Amino acid sequence: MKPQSQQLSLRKRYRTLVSALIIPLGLIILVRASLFGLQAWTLIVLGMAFVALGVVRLRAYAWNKQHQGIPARKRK
Amino acid sequence: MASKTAPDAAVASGAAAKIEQDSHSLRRAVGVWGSYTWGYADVGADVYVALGIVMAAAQGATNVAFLFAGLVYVMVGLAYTELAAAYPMAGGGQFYVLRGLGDFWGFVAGWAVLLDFTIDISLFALASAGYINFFIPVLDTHINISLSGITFPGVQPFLILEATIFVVLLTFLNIIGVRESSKFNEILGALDVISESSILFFGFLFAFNPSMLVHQMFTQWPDAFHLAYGASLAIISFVGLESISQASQETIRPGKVVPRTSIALILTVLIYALAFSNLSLAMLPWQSFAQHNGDPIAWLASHIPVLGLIAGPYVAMLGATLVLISSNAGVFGASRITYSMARFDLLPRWFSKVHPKFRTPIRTLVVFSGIALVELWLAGLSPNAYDVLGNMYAFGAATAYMLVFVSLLVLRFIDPWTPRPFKVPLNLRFRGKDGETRLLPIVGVLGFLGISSILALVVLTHAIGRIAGPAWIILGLLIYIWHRRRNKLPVTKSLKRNWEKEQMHVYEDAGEYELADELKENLARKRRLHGEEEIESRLPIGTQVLDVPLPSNGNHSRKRKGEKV
Repeated sequence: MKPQSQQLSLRKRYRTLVSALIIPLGLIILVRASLFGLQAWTLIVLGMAFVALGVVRLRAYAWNKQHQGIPARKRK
Repeated sequence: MASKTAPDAAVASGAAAKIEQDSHSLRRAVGVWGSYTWGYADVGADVYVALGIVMAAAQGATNVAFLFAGLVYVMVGLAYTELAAAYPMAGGGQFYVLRGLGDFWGFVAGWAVLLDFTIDISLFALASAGYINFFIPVLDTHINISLSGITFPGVQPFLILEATIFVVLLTFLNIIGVRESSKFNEILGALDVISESSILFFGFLFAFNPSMLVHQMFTQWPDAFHLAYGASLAIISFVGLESISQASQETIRPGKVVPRTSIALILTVLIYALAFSNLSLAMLPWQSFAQHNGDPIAWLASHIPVLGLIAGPYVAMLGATLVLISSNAGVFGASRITYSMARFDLLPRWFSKVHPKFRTPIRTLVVFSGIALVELWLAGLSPNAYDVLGNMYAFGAATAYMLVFVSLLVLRFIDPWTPRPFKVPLNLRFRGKDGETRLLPIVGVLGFLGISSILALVVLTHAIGRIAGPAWIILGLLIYIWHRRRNKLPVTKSLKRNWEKEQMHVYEDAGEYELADELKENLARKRRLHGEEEIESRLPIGTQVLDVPLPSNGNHSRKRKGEKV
């Protein structure tokens, strides 16, 4: 059981790290693209998308953590 | 278009009565991460192949071409998410079209997706061999081969042999069982997500130049034809959702897991495709990618400061890994879709046999991996096997997706009773004659128009695809007609099936008890509104209603009017 719990822990750390990195990366792209105004609209969209992905990942992680280990409701 | 059912068709179906009792089923072993990586394995590799080709076509508007294809893909993805969560059965798009439009169109959709999966197996096994040959260039040798007096110039026999070995190896992995091959995908998928993210991360941190992107978009914008051609090619980057829905029958608690993994995958794939195309235009002229269309990501990575020194061999390894798991997703998908089609009498039931020990559909795995090998060997006779295989790719996807959209719309009206843990957003509310509310998804209508336009572009611009694609469909229809006539089943009409019982079984098998309770309540309301018993009593005497073949308890019995199940 120990290796499995270690593996899960590594996965959690990886997911958190990626989510944490994606959001500032999106913000960097967004800020640099904004300096060129609406001409760089595809980059602005991309920056916002990165931020959204980071937020979605964190929310999914939170949901997964909340529901982990809870078995499906047993039939009466 | 409503589903055509033929209550009387089943009366004469002598062959259907000989349904093989199969006590083995696909086991539920795929979790959240497994479901995600099954889809990612398919899509992640497509970007690696598509970027260079799309760049050569769409030029300074490559990012816009990816954005257009990506928006259509998001709508396709939302449709798949709703259907996969509501109907968590192996078969994916084929199964949803079968539910919505009936047997005939269900077969057409399944056969079209099958074209993609078999090409997926051969094309990506070939690409993987190509990336490995980055380290052993001698294996890329071109030679002239003569067969029966016909000379084939520039054939790459070692490359084809390597790809053949990969296909055989992956087929074996899938025969051993989904647990093993899912784990295999999970490990490789994680490695590739990290690597791709690293390329994008370092690229955007150290190398991207927004002014170059703006310059290329303003001075190198293509004409309408090239932009449309680029967009139609870009859609080949987005086939992974089919894999998630294929795996939904083997996913633990699919009603909860599938919507989350699907939405995460939709966002990941869209963002990666947009990120790679934007980063490429913001780092290098599009012409340089057109010249390196065999290894565009390696070319991009080699120009990133610091990372660039090791990027060549690293990205070659990464590419080999990515495309190999994409090929594996093809083996998995092709076997599951034929398994599903055989269970519903769209293909001979011989295919639905599950291995007693490994509980995997061994016959479909062997047969359709075999077809993929034949495609590989035939394409291998051309000097550019990638081009021959890639040209047919988009046709199958666009055809199947179009039918899935129609099916989504139809199912919203004919089956509002099945619980939908996820619904495609933006709906118009209608009240049916029975008093039940129906929702028309605006996104579904827009998606149908979008994918129809892409199918039109494919037919207009893909020289091999517009011939080989329809030819594949015609071949499939001949097999379908032969099988249905041989078993005295209706060809254009559908068998009447007990979908409600099947749906209940699937929910209980998946541990989705809340959904099962909701379905029971909905069905009770339906019976109240419709007076169901009265409808059944109007069926001709002796009419038989087929139970859907339930995989785990072998429940293939039939009910005669007046009999209890």
